[in-house]
Formats: sequence, structure tokens, C-alpha cells
Amino acid sequence: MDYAIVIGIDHYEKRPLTGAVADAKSFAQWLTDNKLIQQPDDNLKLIVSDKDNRITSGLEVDEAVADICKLARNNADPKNRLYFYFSGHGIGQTYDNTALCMRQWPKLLNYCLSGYMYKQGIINSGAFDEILIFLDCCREIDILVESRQPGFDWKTMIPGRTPRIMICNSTAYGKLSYEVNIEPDQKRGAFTSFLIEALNGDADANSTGVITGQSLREHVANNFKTYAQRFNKIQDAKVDFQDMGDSIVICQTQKAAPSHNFIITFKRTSNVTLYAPTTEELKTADVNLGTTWEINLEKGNYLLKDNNTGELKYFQNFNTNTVSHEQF
Amino acid sequence: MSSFNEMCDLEIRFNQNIDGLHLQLLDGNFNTVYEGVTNQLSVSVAKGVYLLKINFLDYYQEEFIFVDENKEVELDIKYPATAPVLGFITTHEYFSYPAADTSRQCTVDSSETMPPNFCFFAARYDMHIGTTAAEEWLQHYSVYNEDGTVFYQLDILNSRYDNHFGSVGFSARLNPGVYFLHYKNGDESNIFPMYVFDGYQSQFFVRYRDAPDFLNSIVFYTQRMMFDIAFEEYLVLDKIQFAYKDISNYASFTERDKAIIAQHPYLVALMNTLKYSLRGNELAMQIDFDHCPALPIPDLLIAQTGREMLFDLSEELPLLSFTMNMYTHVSNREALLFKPGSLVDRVIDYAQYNLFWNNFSNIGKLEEWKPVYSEVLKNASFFSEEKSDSPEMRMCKQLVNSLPNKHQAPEAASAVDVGVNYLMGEKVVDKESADKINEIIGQVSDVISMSKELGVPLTSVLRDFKSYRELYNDLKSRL
Repeated sequence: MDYAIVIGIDHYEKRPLTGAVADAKSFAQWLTDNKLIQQPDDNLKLIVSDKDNRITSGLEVDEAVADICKLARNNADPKNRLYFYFSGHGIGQTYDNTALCMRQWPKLLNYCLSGYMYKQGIINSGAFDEILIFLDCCREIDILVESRQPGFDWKTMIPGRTPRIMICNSTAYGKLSYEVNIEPDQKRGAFTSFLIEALNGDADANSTGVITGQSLREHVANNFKTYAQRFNKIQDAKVDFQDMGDSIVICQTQKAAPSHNFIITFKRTSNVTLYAPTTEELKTADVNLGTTWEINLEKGNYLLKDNNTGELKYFQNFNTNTVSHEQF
Repeated sequence: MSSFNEMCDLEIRFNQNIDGLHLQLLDGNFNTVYEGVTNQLSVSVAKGVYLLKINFLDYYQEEFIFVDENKEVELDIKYPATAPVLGFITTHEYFSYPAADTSRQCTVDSSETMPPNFCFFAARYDMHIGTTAAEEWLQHYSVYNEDGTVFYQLDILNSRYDNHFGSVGFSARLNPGVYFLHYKNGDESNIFPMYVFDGYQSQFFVRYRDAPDFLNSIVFYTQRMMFDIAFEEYLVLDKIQFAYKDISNYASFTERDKAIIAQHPYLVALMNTLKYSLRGNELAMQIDFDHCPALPIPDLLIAQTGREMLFDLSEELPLLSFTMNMYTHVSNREALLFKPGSLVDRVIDYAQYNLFWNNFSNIGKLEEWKPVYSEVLKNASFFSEEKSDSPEMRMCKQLVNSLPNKHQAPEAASAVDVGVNYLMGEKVVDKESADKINEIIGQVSDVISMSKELGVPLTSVLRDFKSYRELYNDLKSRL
């Protein structure tokens, strides 16, 4: 049985974010769309901030973790998996311990959850065989912050299950994690937007039909920096494992529609050429605002050229089995 | 019909001559056709859409290259260097030249014939970044001397500025000793200890976005007594900081880097500090500048004394900084370790100073530094009283503030209650004082309850009692 705790916080009093709640909802949506969470009413705890409440002070997280652990522990299912997702501000206390800032931070400097202690608490709960942790937050170092331990008993180890663990950090230790404009009016965490695409199929580089911890790690290592560069950001995500977490099968990939695996939408009126990874001219045509090209592309680097203005746009197709999108 | 398997010559050069660039060239199908450390690349490749990945220290950049014929490509490395060197995009000549001028002629006295030995230079990352006129920055900076009196308040008369491109410079000739560069802008406040040594020019560089980026500021001590756009040692300083972050990065130092280090006693001191701080580390032991003169900075002396000593003294002396903290951690735990200074914590909280102790600052003789440091603490009210404080709270704060021995650790350390230690910023106090504090703290039941319920230390509750009480009441009402 799969369980999830998904947290997104935009409404920090002093340093509000704009894409964290949307990222959390998007991740939760991905879980339910892919039927990874069978009983979302019980097994998915989505905790997001809102201007009209004070949710995400930390108490909700404690309650959610305690409830989910109890639920999973009482479930005799041979394989229990937990997805723990956090999007918001974060602080790198140590390499292993990212402080997850609750909405009172930084007004209350220490109002942060200790990522390490919560992870240990979940491991020690003895409820899970697989734990997948996704943290889309900064890991800048601040030695003054003292993050909080869980409100539940996190130290007592309940034997029974030794989980395989995968930890995805959106940025390197000591570094910032960015929100980017994936649309002119839509900001999202660079990592989460990349992650969703990766889990939808981009990370299945060898078209095996499944995405494992290892294939996600390779995809992130090879391509996330390139993705961040599209938004003029330097950000380097990292996927780490504990206890053979690399062998976790995260999900199966969706098959692309048979007719095409790439959709290019044009935001211009001009004449455009698409070049293949070998520089071969694939297609040249007049386009208008809103014109779309639905085409099949092999894996590789591509170039779009506006033949009137000379403007260039490079892009990549990571996977032939999934439908990807680009705008020009 | 042309053949797409036709080979082309691809030449890649960079406008900046940087040692230690790591390049990876991927073909159109994501296959690596070249990977290595070089500052220029000449390869024969099939036609294709290539991706060049460029790594330099923590900096990353990539460029797509469309190769449909023999091609020569010249690229800019857009490395955000702090010192305006080597013609990076952040170091245009309109930043480099004023920095050089500032370093060569005292701005406080144009008749001074000797070169300045104290030089401050601030500039935008790019002329288009930020909106505040550069001359406005000046009012935020002052130079204090040891007595805590203002030696110079920077202004348009004693400094140079350029509002169009966005830079300010200040330089002076000072007597050797310790000074403090103080930045204050509203509630934001930083103090950088700066030392002036005989025969060295002390340089401080910082870049601006909308505000100064102190996390990327650097201090340099040079015997050249000037700055120049062509000087490479500033980039080597960046590499050294990268090695502080992870000693394994030392493997990427080139022979040229090492030769440059050998010429600069300040850089030698930093490398030796790293070496002695990581005794036993195989790579650190390969650091060999023992034959080179080193600036005897306290960091080096302490590191030579031993790691345990470093821990003890780091409580007493602000040697290691926030700036270096960005670099002193690493995944393999082989970095320079230090205990977070309760000093810094206390000063930030109670004296409203964000002491930005730069690890790379030279702190003269330790015994000279101590009284200055002590003065800062003595004048700091540990727990500022607020009107909203309850009488009990005020009494508790007054008692703690009035402790006569709060700057000295008595021998009877074992009897101190944990809560009191928190209160005192982990300084130990004698048992009698501790009991008194505990007694009064016990009366402040709200604080204790809040501390327990919210899971935060007593000291945090005391520092921001009003906010925590608000939160506590809010949570209680929802339970």
C-alpha cells in the first residue's frame, strides 16, 4: 500500500513564495493520476498553506506523519511505501539535515522541522518498506537555526521493516533552490516541474517502461542543470539512496500517443525550421500564433530557427515514449 | 546530397584564460565526445547539435553549438567573480579600472604619495542590476578603529563613485592594527574585522544586486599594494575556498595555481591552515607550501596548535566566519570544522550586530584581539527588555544580564542546568547563579510551557516572547 505526505508552503510572513503550494498540489496530482495512492482520502495527506488559515505551522505535519505511520503499521500489506514531499523554504543545517521551514519562519528563526529527525522517525516507525523523500527547497547553510524534532516519538525503533530509501534534494548542500516562470504568469519550483516531467517518462532513458531510483538519479544528474539553465539558474539537484534505494521502482511510464511524442506550440507569426540532432532539416513551414506541430522526435538535441528574425531555440527530447512540449 | 556523417573541425576558445575549466561536450544524441579539464578544445566531430557543459568551481554554464561545418567558437565564461578580474561579464573594465585606481591612490587624501594599505571596493554584478545610485551606498559604510570610534565615515568627499555603472571605492593609508568595516542600513548591520599589516594592502570586495551580497564578499591581503584586472590570485582564492568546501577539490589545482599561491603569503597561510586543520587527511597532507612565506594569521596558528584547541578558541575568538561557513562544510565531513559561535548568536540577537567574522581576516595577535571582543560583549545587553514583557520576564532578563561572570567560565561547570546554558548562549555559569536563574525561570511558567510545547529552546522563547506567545495561544486554541 502506498501513502503520501505532501507539504507546500507559500505563505511565509516575511519571505512568501508563489509556487510551492502549486508544486505540492501538482505532485499530489501526479500520485493520484498515476494511481499510486489507491485511497487518497485516507492515505494522502496534502498540507498546504493558505492566506486564510495558519496551516503549516508544523503541528499538522506531526499529526499527518503520526497518523500515516499508524495506518501503515496496522496494514499487513507486504509492501508499504511512503512518499514524503516538501516544497517551501529550507535551510541546510548539515548535509543530511535540511531544516524544513514552517510558515512562521524566519520571524521565528527556529520554526523549522528537522528533515533528518523526521526521516529517522519514519524509518523507526517500522511501517514502511520504501521511503521516497522529495525536498524542493533551499539548502543554504545557517548555523544559527535549530530545527525542531518531531512531536511524535521518533527515536524508538520498531523492528519489522528495513526500508529502502531514496532522497531527492532539489539543490546541492549550501545552495539555493529556485522558483522559475514556467509560463509568463506561473511560477513553479524548477525542480518539481522537472521532476514531474521526469516521472512522467523523461527519466526512462532506455525506454524500459519503468522508472527506478537509479534511472531517476541518472536523469537528474545528466539533465537537471541543463533544465535550470533554460531559466538562467544554476541549480544542481541530487538523488541519494540508503539501503538499496536505487532499486526502488518508482513508477511505470505512460506510453505516448502513437502519432507523435512531441508538441511544439508557436507564439509567433513567421517561417520556422526545425533541425535534427544531426543538423538535418526536419521541417520548415510558416507558423502563426497558436500553431502547433505534433511530431515524432528521436532522443536528442534539436534546434528551432526563426528564418525571419534569426532567433534560435535549442531544446532536448529525453524520451521517445512520452509526449513532451516546447514553445517557440 | 550532403552526408551527415561528414566530419567537421570544432575549435572552442574562451575569452577568459582560466585554468581548471572542466568541459564536457555531448553530441546530439547525448553521447559524450569529450570530457576533461582544459581552457580550449579542438576536436573533430560529426555534424550535429552539440551541448557544451562548462564547470568551474561551483559555477556551471552550458552552450549549444550547431556544427554543420568547420567551426571556431569563442565563448564568454560568465563567472560571477567578486574581484573585477580577467574580463568576466561581471568584471567589465568599467568596474576593473575604478577598482585599480582606488587601490593605487588614496581616495581620502589625493596628496598622499604612498599607495593605500586599506582598500574597499563595491560594484554591481552588472551595470543593469540594481536601481539605487551607487553614491547612496557610501553612507552605509564606516571604518572603526579599535576604540570603537568612527575612523572614517564613507562619503562622496573621501570616496570615489560612479552612479552610471555602479561602483564605489574607498582607500586610505592607515597605521597597522585592527579596524572594523561597518555596514549599517536600517536593521541590516555587518561588521568585518579588517587588519592592516606592514607591507600589505588589505582589500575588501563586495558585489551588489539590490543589496550588497556579503556572502560573496572577499578579503585579500596583497604585497603588491594594488589591484589589477590581470591579477590571477583572486581566482585562486576562489579555488582555495572551494577546497575548504571539500578537500577533494584540491586535486583540481593546477601547477599554475600552486605557483600563484606560493607567491602570496596570504594564500599560503590559507592553504596551510587547511592542511593543519585536516591532519590525517591524505589529500590535505599533499598540500606543501612549507617552503613559502606565510602570513601568520591566527587561523593558521590555531590550526597548527591542534584541532581540539581550535574548538576551544572558536568560542572565544571570532576566527571563522559566516562567509567561510559557506565553504567549510562538506559531504564527506573532511572539512574544517568549528563549533558555531555562541558569540555570533548573542551579538546578533542582543546587540543588533551581525558580526560577519571573516575567516580570511587577519586578526593580528590573539591577545590584542581579546579586549576588543570583550568590549563588544560587555556593551551588549544579552536580553533586551521590551515594554510588553511581564514583570517576571523583565526580572528574569535583568538577572541574567546582571551576572558579573557572564564573560568568564568558572570551573564549576558541571552543575549548570541545561536551560541556563541555553539562556547564556551555552556559556557556563556558577551553580549559585544558575540556581537563582532557575528559580526565577520556574516562576515564568508560560515560558517553560511554551518551550516544551513548541519544542524550541528557552532562549528562543525569551528572545521573541511576544511572537511565540501569539503562536502558542493560537495553537492551544486549536487543540
